[in-house]
Amino acid sequence: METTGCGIKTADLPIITKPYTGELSFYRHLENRSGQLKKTPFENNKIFSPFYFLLEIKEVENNGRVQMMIYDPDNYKVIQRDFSYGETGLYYEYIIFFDKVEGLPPGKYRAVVFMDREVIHEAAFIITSEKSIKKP
Amino acid sequence: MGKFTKFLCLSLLLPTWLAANSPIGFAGDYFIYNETLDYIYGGGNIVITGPEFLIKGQTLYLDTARMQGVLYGGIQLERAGKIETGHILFFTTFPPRFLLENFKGKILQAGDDTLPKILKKPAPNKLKEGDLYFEFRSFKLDKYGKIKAKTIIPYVMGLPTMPLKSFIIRRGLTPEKTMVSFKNLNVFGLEGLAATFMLRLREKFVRGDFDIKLYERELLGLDGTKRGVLFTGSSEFLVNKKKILGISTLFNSGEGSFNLNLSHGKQYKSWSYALGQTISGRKNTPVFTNFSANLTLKSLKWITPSLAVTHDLKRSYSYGLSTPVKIWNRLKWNINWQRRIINNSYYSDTSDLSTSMQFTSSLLTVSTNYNLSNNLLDAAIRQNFSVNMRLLPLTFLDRNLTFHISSFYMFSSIPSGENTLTRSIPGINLAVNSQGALMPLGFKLVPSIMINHLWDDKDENFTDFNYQLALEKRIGHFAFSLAYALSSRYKADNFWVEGNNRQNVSAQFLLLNPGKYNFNLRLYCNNELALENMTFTSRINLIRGFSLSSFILYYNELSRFQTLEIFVEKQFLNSGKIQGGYSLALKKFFIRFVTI
Repeated sequence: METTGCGIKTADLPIITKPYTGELSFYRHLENRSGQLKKTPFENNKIFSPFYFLLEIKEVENNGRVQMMIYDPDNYKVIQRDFSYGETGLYYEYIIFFDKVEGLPPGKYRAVVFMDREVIHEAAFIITSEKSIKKP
Repeated sequence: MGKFTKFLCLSLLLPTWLAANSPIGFAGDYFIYNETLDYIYGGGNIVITGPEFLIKGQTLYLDTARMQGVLYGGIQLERAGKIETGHILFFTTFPPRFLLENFKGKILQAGDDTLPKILKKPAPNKLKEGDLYFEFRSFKLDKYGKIKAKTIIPYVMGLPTMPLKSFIIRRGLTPEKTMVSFKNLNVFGLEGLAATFMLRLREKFVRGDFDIKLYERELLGLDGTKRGVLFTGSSEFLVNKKKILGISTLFNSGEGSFNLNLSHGKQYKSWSYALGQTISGRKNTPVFTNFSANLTLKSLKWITPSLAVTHDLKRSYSYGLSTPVKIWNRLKWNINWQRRIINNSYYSDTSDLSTSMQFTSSLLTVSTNYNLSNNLLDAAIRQNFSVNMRLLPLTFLDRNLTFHISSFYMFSSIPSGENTLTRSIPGINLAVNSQGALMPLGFKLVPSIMINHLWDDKDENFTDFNYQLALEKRIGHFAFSLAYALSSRYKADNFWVEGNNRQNVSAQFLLLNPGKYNFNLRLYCNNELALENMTFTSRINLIRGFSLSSFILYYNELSRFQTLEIFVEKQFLNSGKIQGGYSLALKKFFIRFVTI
């Protein structure tokens, strides 16, 4: 068995094996322009409907399925988006998903990310009324 | 029977106490801890083992500062012989509290729903941006926040170092018990190479905190004391949990010096007292001692008289009375009298009387001081009196113009031989400052004027005028200013007015983008408005927290660089900097450590 200089087996060293979420954020508009993502952020980080979510997952291998779900203030699922990614035998430094979400009234929501039936990330966020933002 | 009941209760409580204080174990494929963010991420086959629970999951976010976290992915929570499953588990570590969530058509919750569900969750790539982070396979977390990890790779400035089998990567809070522990290691500080240990005393009759510093200076080529032990700290002796004696200590074996301060005091409703004893000494000099006592009466309505006595335990002593008077909130008045007798290598006996008064109103503040020192040996009297009156600043034109007006009067009477020298000096200050006026093309003109007039009954009678006019312009990240300053002094002498002037011109060019770069060029001209010197400073932030800095000072008259320094700098561990570059003043390349 290969060991390091201080008697620790190489196989025992900490190695990242699981994909992880690099970013889950919300934008006013997202657009794929010839492979470049053009991001239009919300002013003062206040989110209002409609909006786009952007999900970045790092250290991904092979293929699989990612689900993005949004739960309303009463804990009921109101949005679900399904994505497929990758090819068998390939490694991806990161993969990016984004989509538009419409029709959610103001309130406190929770977003949950499933990757191959396991939760890998979740976040709480607040949707504000656009009218209240525009008022002086 | 009573003893048996007590034993039974203790026997039942002990396992509960042990369970609440036992460390919690975390194991998995990968963990990363960033000491700046004080955060742990874990990924892959996470198992959390506590005294009364076992948890399994896949992704861990643990805020080690707040001792709370969240676990994602195939959660199994096993406690009290039951296994609960879910998608997400929020938890705190001490005491252990859990909230399990299942995400289906609706979020189903079980457990403590008061747990906070909003946590910061920095991704591993964020945790890797720190100057110091650790990757490891397992760790134990105790209730003081101490983290002992196993199979670790430490990363310093992004580079992996030697793997370690076991290491305490976070010390946590220091427990409230008597202990000696290693505190820090300093290199290139004032004491040279220094290792500091902490001594904490937490006993029934004594509490204290001390630093024991072992330092070595000769090894690093520093002048003065070669090496030694520096012992500093304070402690207090307790009776029935109340402080009866405080001691602050300093002992330096290298310099052969020590200082001890003992204090004792008590506060009662109508009076208080304080006693103190100082003993200090240094190699080859006599020991100095000073005893002090103070008694204060607090029962009177407007005055708080206080009696103070000091004695050096030889032949010098003093005693005195002070009485702060507070009849009106706006008016503070203090009268102080003290007699001092010094009987060491010389003899003196003085009686000092001083009064001070301060009056504050919405328009002005007035403060006066009067000191009368009577030498009881030769009956010589010294007197000083001063009064200051300051008007609150007057503002005009929407605060664009501010006037500061103040006046003062000083009087002194000092014995000189058989005569007494007296002097009285009144004076007035006027300062006018402006925020500036906008000019065409976006230029800004900022004038300021200061006038001081001072005269006394001897021969000083003059007026100073200081003018400054600055022209400023800012375009994006670039700023420019040109300032002209003129200082004049005019002195009245019978019919004649004599005067002299000094003038100065300076220019500044600034290119500033906070967080990225900073260039600053300053030009100074002399009284003849010829260029005298130039200074240039710059700082450019590079990648991974490195920055490139320079400082140049050029004397135009001598046509030479007085100093030139260019260096690369990196801050690490929030406590030190490493700098490397070239210095013209030292005439060599250098690498130095700077502690912050």
